Formats: sequence, structure tokens, C-alpha cells
Amino acid sequence: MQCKSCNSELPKNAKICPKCGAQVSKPAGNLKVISIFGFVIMLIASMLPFVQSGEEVLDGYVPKAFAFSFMNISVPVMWYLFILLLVVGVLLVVAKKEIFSICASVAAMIVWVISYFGFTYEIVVGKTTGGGLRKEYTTLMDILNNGYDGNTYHIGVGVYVMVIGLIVAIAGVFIDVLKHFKKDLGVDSKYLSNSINQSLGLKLYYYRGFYLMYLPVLIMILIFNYWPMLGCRYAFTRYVIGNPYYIGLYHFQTMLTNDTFFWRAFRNTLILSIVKLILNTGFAVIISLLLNEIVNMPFKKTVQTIVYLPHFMSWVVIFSVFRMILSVNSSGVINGFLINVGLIDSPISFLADTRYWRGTFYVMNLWKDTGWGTVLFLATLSGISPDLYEAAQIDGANRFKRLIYITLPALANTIITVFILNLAKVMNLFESVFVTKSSAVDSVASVLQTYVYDKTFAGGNSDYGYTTAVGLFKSFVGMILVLGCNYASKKVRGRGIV
Amino acid sequence: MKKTIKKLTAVGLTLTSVMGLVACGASNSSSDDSKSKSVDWSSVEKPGTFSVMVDGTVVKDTNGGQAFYDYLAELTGLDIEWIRPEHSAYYDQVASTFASGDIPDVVLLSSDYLALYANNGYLWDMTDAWENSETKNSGRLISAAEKIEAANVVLGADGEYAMYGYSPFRGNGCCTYIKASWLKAAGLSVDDVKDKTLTYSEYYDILKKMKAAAASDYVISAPGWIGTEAPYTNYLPEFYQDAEYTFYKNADGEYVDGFSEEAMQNALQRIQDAVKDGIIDSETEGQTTSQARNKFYSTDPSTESGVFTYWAGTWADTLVTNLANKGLDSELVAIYPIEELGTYTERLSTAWCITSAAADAGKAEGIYKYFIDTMLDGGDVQMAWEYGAKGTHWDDKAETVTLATAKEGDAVKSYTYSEGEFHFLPSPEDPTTLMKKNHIDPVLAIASFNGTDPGAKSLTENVTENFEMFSSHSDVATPLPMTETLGNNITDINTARNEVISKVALNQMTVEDGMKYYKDTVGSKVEAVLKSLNSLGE
Amino acid sequence: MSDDKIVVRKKKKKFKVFPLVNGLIFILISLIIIIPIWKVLCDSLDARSAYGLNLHPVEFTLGGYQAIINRTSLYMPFVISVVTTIVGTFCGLLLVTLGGYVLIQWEMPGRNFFAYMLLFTMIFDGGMIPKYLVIKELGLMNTLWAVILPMSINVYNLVLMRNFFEGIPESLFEAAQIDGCSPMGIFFKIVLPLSKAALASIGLMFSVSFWNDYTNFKLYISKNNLYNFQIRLRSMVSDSDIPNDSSVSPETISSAATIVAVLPFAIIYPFCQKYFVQGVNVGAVKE
Repeated sequence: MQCKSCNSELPKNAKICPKCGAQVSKPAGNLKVISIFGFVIMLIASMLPFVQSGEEVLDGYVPKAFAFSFMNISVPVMWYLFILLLVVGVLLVVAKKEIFSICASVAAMIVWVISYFGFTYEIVVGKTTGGGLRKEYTTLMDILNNGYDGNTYHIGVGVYVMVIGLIVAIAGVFIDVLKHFKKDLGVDSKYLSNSINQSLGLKLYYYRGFYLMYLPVLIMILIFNYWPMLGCRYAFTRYVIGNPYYIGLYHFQTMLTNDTFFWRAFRNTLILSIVKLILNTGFAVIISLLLNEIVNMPFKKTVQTIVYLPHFMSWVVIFSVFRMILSVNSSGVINGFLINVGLIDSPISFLADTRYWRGTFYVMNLWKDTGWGTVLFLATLSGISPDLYEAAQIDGANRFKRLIYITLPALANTIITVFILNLAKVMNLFESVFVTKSSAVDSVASVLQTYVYDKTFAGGNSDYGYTTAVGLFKSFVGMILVLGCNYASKKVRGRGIV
Repeated sequence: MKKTIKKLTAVGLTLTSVMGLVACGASNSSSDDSKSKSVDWSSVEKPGTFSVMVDGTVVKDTNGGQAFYDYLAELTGLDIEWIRPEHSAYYDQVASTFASGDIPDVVLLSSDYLALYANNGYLWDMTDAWENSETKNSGRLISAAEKIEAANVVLGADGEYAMYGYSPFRGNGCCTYIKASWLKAAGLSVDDVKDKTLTYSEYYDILKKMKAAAASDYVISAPGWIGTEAPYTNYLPEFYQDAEYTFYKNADGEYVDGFSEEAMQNALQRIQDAVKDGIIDSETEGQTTSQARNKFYSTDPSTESGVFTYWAGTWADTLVTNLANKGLDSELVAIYPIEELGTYTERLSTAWCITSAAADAGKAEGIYKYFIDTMLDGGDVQMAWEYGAKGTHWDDKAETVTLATAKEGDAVKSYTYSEGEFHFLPSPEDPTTLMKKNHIDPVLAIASFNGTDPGAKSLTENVTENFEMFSSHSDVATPLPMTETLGNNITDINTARNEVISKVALNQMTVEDGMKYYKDTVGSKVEAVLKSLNSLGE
Repeated sequence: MSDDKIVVRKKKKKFKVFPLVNGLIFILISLIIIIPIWKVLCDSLDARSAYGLNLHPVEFTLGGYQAIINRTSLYMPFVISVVTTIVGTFCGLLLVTLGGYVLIQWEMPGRNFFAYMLLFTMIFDGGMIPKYLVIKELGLMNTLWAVILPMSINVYNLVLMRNFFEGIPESLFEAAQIDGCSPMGIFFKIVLPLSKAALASIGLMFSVSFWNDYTNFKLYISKNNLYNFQIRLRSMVSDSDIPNDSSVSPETISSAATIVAVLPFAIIYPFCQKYFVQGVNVGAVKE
């Protein structure tokens, strides 16, 4: 085979002419991500209710026969078939045979329609001796027309999402969004020929050792990060002492409409972590500015060593230290001091009083992390050229002016970076609160993660499905925050955080 | 290259999604409603190997547990696989065991868990077995036995009430102990409180006098404002009086929420006042039983407490011993319930349950007859359950028992016994003290021995006297039937209740505000629960 | 001339006041950090420590530390902590170096897929309960693996390690390849020896997180004899779950336990400070 533009002999499997860099074979189009996105929507839709009860979600009641989807079809093989077709569809898109993927998505749709009209669905009416579920069966048509237990039923959100998913999956085949995001690296393609022209088999063989090395990492990631993601399906089930069964969006509805504890935890999460973030960053900036002014190096080193130290203590240790000095007895360090000075009459219970807990929490955070927070700022400050200061000094700028015009602008980027990095983690607030709170201060201290923990492990009748739903909500908000911060980070400093 | 990456992506995605989704959905459901057929109890055979899950009330492995297992196996010929989770995490373990489906054959459960698992269909109905049991027909049962077993009659998965557990002992309860030294310091004498029914105002006056005379910040330090199991109010009974913490059936036979009634509001006001007056320790919040006990034994006058409501019976003796060990004046007075309180409340006892796993394996009847029913056989097996293994925990041969000393130089204690005289041996875990009891507390067993209790002599007068006082002034708590709605909401409701109690007690909220907060947060849940409870009888 | 002098004098005066105040501020800050720790240290050596205001032991004793050495219920958690920290750090470093090394093979088919897989875990996680159920299904409950394995696959540290590796000059790899080194050979002969600082830095991060781990133990371990020191310390402090000892007060023992929990890192930390600092800087600047 010969290159069309320079007529030189081409190696086997060549895609790019090594001599002139011209494309030899037909260029493969970009991956049709929109279409894949459509398939994912269809997968999610298969877990959303196809038919749903019209009854109002009342606080405290768990309704029977609330929703129906693939998750409670009496012949689950239909669901597996549906998923299989989706997977085939995705594979076809990935293999750049997009047109055929339409067949797969349409076939999946047909399977779904058959399941919708042709099969019976389970209604869980109670438990049986032996710990099983007592079930009844119904068809969707029957329940739509006749209702069940006095409730009327309507078509659920799953149907609409399914149709949207199908449309996206088919339309996506014809839309190439990636081309807008692809950056031209500006490398002459003939230099790439060396790697691109090699056949896949050869490369796989060449890298076989690396795959082996990556295997342990891959297995661990799949088990401890991806397997739990599949567990998110429990958010659509009622799961008390085993035997999960499908309950549609009931948990999300209760959570968002009735659960005051959930909203309290959500509010606390935001308040605690954002105030903490602002305080910690503020103090860290001030301390690093002052620390930067110290000229005596041994003194500076010693101070640094001391202020970094608390960062390496666990929250349990911090709690134990603070509990000791904040002891409520009149002989406690802080309370004793305040009483002696005459500021208070009786000891304050800093860790068990809702009025003081948040303040105590912020102080503990400051004590633990402010020193460590200066590390980044100090690194930035040491990077500012001393010439700038000298020049400013000659111009007559005093210490304050130098701070305003030189130091702070140089620090600004780092401050924003630190802020964005931590903002992305806002939802993950857990151990610090978990260790230091007691149930007495739940109203100001309970955060989403501790709420999930408390509610799940409080007793034998806790609903794993519900707490999974709360966790899913947390992960979802967290995801939005991370992506938002990532976007902000790209705008501010040219690169993302993940 | 791009293409290959994409292909790999696809393969990976496929693998992950298929892997997980295959595990989805299909939940096993076998719904064969095998009604309990009548059993010929005389022909029931021994069950073969079975597993028993029990908390730390049976002698622990570190305390000669193996000797007890061997001794029991020798006596009964049963092959038992013992599952012994840590005592403090027992119910976590039980919950996760049931959730994972790997259920033991026999399990010891508290009344709450009994109701929960019975309601979910995990327990075996032992009504018939109990009716035909040797224990029931032996004539050795104490008079309260029927009442105690009645608490194990709960709602099953089939919607019928049945007996799902068996308690070989009564639940015991708490009574109030006052330090005689504190009374004297306040210018009072033991006779002012002993064997008398005080009124609340008299009692409160005494507490105030004690507070005035003491160097401590408080007089009473309780393990939490409210207990975690029924009867919830048992650590501060004089202050709660007739207030009900949770749902109960009132005189009209209707279920009501005790927490929102006026009696509870008055009780909260009393507690708030007592904390303000420095009677109750403001650190009571979240305190564990051991913390509260340590304050009772404290040698530091500023943290010592003088009045303590704690378990009756054996504990009456233990408290005295521990006080004496710390070098404090160990004279205690257990007072009668005050007039407004009427009676102390006896806790619902833990119960032995046979699970559906055993029933499925056809072992349930055998386990009942040869394991459960023999616990109180009035002979050797009952000895083993009450006192432990012969030769390890107790003995009746002629010998001299010498206790180890805690520190060098302490006085050596030794006791000499003649042949045939029952005596305890030093505890394997802590050789400085004698064994006290095994699973069944001898004073609490619901059936007596054939003839006299061989171990009766080992009980001190203090214990029996205290327990007699308690049993004549107490009443058994009534169990709350478990409905699904109750099970779903009780955690949230109790969270709100406890929050209100602690805030009101610490004067961070007035009683009215607390009640309003309670209604606002969980009012609708309370209504749902009440509705489910009241529709039970229909 | 006189004008100049005034300027110089003014300058000198300012120069003296600010550092003095600044120095005082930092002495104060250092005291705020040190006094609580010092107080706990004193209490741990004081037989009658009852949270007094004194800043020195009143009745000196080593009984608190003796109790920790003598009591099974106190030294077993310490042993568990040491074991999980060592094994966990080893597993963590192994995974992180392997992963980091593979991720710098830019031309390896599937490399981007692997990278995106890791990336996605930083954006979305399954949550506490699904993870708990997975650990349960794997039969890891109440084994130390439940604590070690999930924490040893730390994506953040893996990316950090990759960044360190990226700093190794390409030419070294090429030279080694020409010499006929296998991927494993390059990994052990070139990559690891050149990244000692990175290994120290990330190894320290791992060991701190394993030593301080509380949450995983709380979630996955319910057997007393498998609790680590942090769990034990927490139960001592908040539940007063302290073995009775007639010679010293319970506060002495719990203070001593607090000191023991801090001690390992307080000792090695001053020597390793630069590795800790380096980790943070690399993490933020080149994530």
C-alpha cells in the first residue's frame, strides 16, 4: 500500500504516513457520548416507577404497592434482557457502529413495552414466618384501571424518562459533541505515527507487564469504589432486616417532604463546614503573613513545628484533650478559670450545650488545622521576589501598603485555590463531628453523614434503603459541588481539581 | 489507539454493569404457610447440633465459659455451637446477623427485639410448647411467672398474637439507694426514710438538706435523663412519677402518647427545677451506667453523689462492697417508692427465642424440649444455669478456698467448707473475688428448685431483703405491641423526645417550648403510630 | 543630613516594635497549642489528677502508663493499631506505586480508561451504607482487612504518586529500556530508588491516616479484641470505660492513653516534617 500524498510505501496497519503525516485510512469519528448518555438514562429509567400510586406520602406510613418497575417484575429475566440490549447498544456505539446501536435501543424499548403490558408485577403485602415476603401479583393494566386497596394509580416518571432516554440514545448517534472540546495538540502527526501505526495486539503484548501490575489496583477499585455504586439501587427499595423490595421514589419523597431531621442535618452540614472553612482559611492567611515576617530562622522553625503538630492528632485525641480542659466540673481548666475571673457563675457545658457546641467545634478545628493550613500560603509567600519589596520600600510604601499591594495579590490565587479545594469536600464532613458530638447537641451538630450513621445503626428496624437514599442525595450534591468547583478552578487557575 | 481505548471502556462498563445487575432484583420468596400442627411432645427427639447466640450474661469465655459449655453438654447431652458477641455490641451483632440471613437457631433477645423479629417472621411460635412444658406443669413456678411470660406474647408475621420467647427469670428493676452518711451529715437519720412511704415534697426536702450539707455539685447523678429501654423512667423514678415516656394503653383501653400528656410536662418541670437547685447532676446527659456508678463511689467530695437509683437485688450488695473497697461509708438505705410513684417498675426480661431457621431445619421442638425447657429443671441443669459449672465456678466438696490478693500486702481471704456444702469458687476472670452467678440470677429465677435451693446460703441477707422489698413494691412493665409503623418511626420519635428532655432539663427550653418542638418535629409520626396501634384490636 | 537621620531612626524604631509584638504573638500561639497537651501530659503523671488548674504533676506516678503496659484491654488495642498501621501503609504504598507507575505509561492502551475510572471515584461515591453492605457481603466484617483494604486504595494519594513519578526524566526510562530492562525491572531499579522522598511523604500520610483511623473501626469492627487504640481511647474518655485500678485515678489512665495515642507521631514528626510539607505542596500545586 502506498501513501496517496507522498507515494512512499506504507507499513502494515498504518493509519498515518510516517513520512509526510497524512491520514491514510478513513478517520474514525469521535465517540458519540450523547448516545451513551441516552443508554444510561434508559438504564436509570428502568429502576424508576412505570406506574405509581396516586396516594399522598404521609409522614410515618409505608404504603403498600406504591410503585412498579423492572425491580419488582415477577420475571426479572426481562430486566436482564433489557440491560443486555443496552450494553450491546453501548458497545456498538463504542465500536463506531452507531447505526446498529439504534437497533439495540429500539429492541430494548420493545422488551420494555412487552414487559409493561405482558407481565405481572409483585406487591409485597407483608412478611411470612421464616422471614420471607408475602406477595401478591398484578398486571399494570389491571392496577391502572382498577386501583389497589382504594388507591388510584397513574403512569409513573419512569415511562417519561424511558422515552427521553430512547430519544437521546437515537439522536445522540447523529450528534458529535466531542469535536467542540477536542484540543489540537499542535504536534505534527508524522511524529505520532510511531505509536499510532502499531497494531493493538502488539501494544497489548508489549504492555502485558503493566497490565499485570495494574491488576491489583483495578480489582481494589472495582470492589471498594464501583461495587458500592451499584448498591445505590437500594435507595429505591425498602430494606429492613434483609429482603429488600421495590418501593419506587418513596424514600426520596419522604426525605424531601417530611423528614425534618434530614433537613436539619443538611443545614448543619452546610453551616458547619462553610463557617469552618472561612475561619480556618482566614486565620491561616493571617498567621502565615505574620510568620513570614519573622526573621529569626530558628524561632520561625520552632514555631512552625509547634503549630503543625496538632494536625497529626486524631479527632479522638483532640476530643479527649478538649473534653479534659473543658470539663464541666468547677475544677475544669477553662470553667475554673472563667469562674475565678468572675465571668460566669456556674460551669458551662461546652460540648453538651447546643448554644456552645458550634463555637467549640470551630475552636477545635482552628486549634487542629490552622497551623497546617499555613503550609501552602508560606510556600507561595516564599516565592515572592524580595526585589519587589525592596522596590516598594524605596518608593516609600510602608509595611501595610506592601501587604496590600504586593503580598495579598500574590496570595490571592492560593487562597482561592484552597477555598475551592475545600469547598468541594463540604459534603464529606463526618469524622470530626462524629467523634465530638453527643446526642444532646444533635440539633446543631447532626450532619448528613452522622445522620446516616445514627439512623442506620440506631436499632434493628432501621431501613437501609432509606439511609442509602440519604447517602445518595449527599453524593449527588457532593458531585455537583465537585464539578462546580472544578469548573471554577478551571476558570480561576486554568486547571481543574480532579 | 483511541478506538482501542473506547473498546476497552465498553468492555469494562459492560463487565461492571452486568456484574452488579445480575445480583439485583431476584429476592428469594418462599411463602409456604405451614400452620403449626399439633406435636406429640413425648416423642420429640434430641435436635442434634444447633447454634446459640447469647450476650455476656452467660459466663464469658474469659470467665470459664468453656467449662460451663462442657458441663452443660455433659448434663444434657446436647451439641451446642455457642456464638458469643461482645456484650456491649450484642444487639448490633444480632441485627447484622439477621440482616445477613445467617441466623442462629437460638438467640437471646430483649423485649423490643423479640417484638421486632417476631413481627418480621423470624421467630418460632412456642405457645404450644410452653403449654405442654415440664417447667410450666412442674408446680415450682413463682406466682409472677405467668405475668412475666405474658410479655413474650407478641404479634407475629401472620398478624396473630403468640408466645415467641421464654424468660427463665424476671426482669428486676431499680430502687433508690440513699447513703446513710449523707443523711447524717444533713442532720437526718436512717429512720427518717427507711420503711416509710415519703411524699415527693418530703423526699425533695431531704434532697435539699443533703445538698446543703454536701460539698458536691449535686446529690443525684443518673445514667442519662431517660433510659434506653422500657421502663424508660427507671433511673429517676421520683421525678417522673406517673409520667409515661412512650405509647401506652390508658384506662379506656385506647393507646395514647404518654410523652405529650400533662403528667410528662409536670415531670419535666420537676427535673428542670431539680437541676436548677443542684439536686441532679447537669452532666447526667449522655452519662453511662458506669460513669454514674463511679460518681456514687467517688472518693472526691466534689464529684461524689449521695442518692442513686439502681438495680435491686444483687446490686444492693455490689454497691455496698464497692463503696467499702473505696474506703467510703458503705451503709445504704433502699427506700420505698414515694407516694406519687406508687410502685417501682420491673423491667421486661430478656427472652430465649427459637428462630425460624431452627424451625425450617425441624429442630425447633427438640431444642425447646431439651434446651429451653431444661433450664429450670429444678436440678443439676438449673444449678448450671444459675451458678455455673461444678468444679470451675462452684463446688460442694470439702476444701479451703483462698482468694488472690489485688496487691501485695493485702489481707488474704480464705474460706473453709465441709463436704456437701455448696460454695462458690474464685472467679476465673478476677481471682480476687468469688463467683456471683451465671445466666440466671438465683433470686430472679421464675421457678424454684426441687426441694431447697442448694445455693441459697451463698446469698447475703442484704440481697434477699432488698429484693423482697423491691418485689413487694413493684409492678411489671407492660410491653408495647410492635406494629410496622411503630418500628419505622420509633427511633425518630425517641430522638425528638430525648432532645426535649435534655433541653428542658438543662433549662435551654421551657416545658411549653419543648412540647411545641416535639409536636412540630414528630407530631405527624406520633399520630401515624397511634393510628396503627389503635387499629390493632379491630 | 538631619532629615536622613530621622528617617533612619524612625525605621529602626518601627523595626524593633513590630518583630517584638509579632514574636509575642507567636509565643502566645505556641502556648495555646502546647498548654492543653502539656496539661494532659501532667495529668497522665499525676496520681490524683482530677482536672485541676495546676500545670505540674502534684503527686507524681507512672501508674497510668503502667496500667497501659499491664492491662490486656489497654495494650491489645495498641498492638492492633501498630499492626494495621504497618500492614496498611505497606498495602497502600504498594497499590499507589503500582497504580502511579502504570498511569505514566501514556501510550498504554487503556491508560486513559484507567485514569478516568479513578477520576470518577473522586467525583461520585456510593455512600456509607452500600459500602458497608459490600464489606459485609465480602465476609470482611470483624476482620482487620475491613479496615486495611478500603483505606489502602486511596485515589488521592495515587494521583499524588503519579505526579511525583512524572518528575522522573523520560531519558532514564529510555536508557533502561535500551539496556533491556523489563517494566518490573525499571520499576524496582529506577522508579522506586528515585522516589524515596515521595515514598516517605506518601508513606507518612498513609501511616497517619491508619494510626488515626476511627470511622472504619467503628463501622466494621464490633469485637472488643479487634478494636484499635483510637476506639479504645474514645470509649475511655466519653464512656469512662476504664479498668479499675486502685492506685491511680481513671483520669490518669485516660490521660496516659491520650499521650500514648499522640506519642508515635510526636516523636518522628519533627524529623519528617519536610516530607509532610512536601506532600501538601506537591498535592496542591500539581494535582
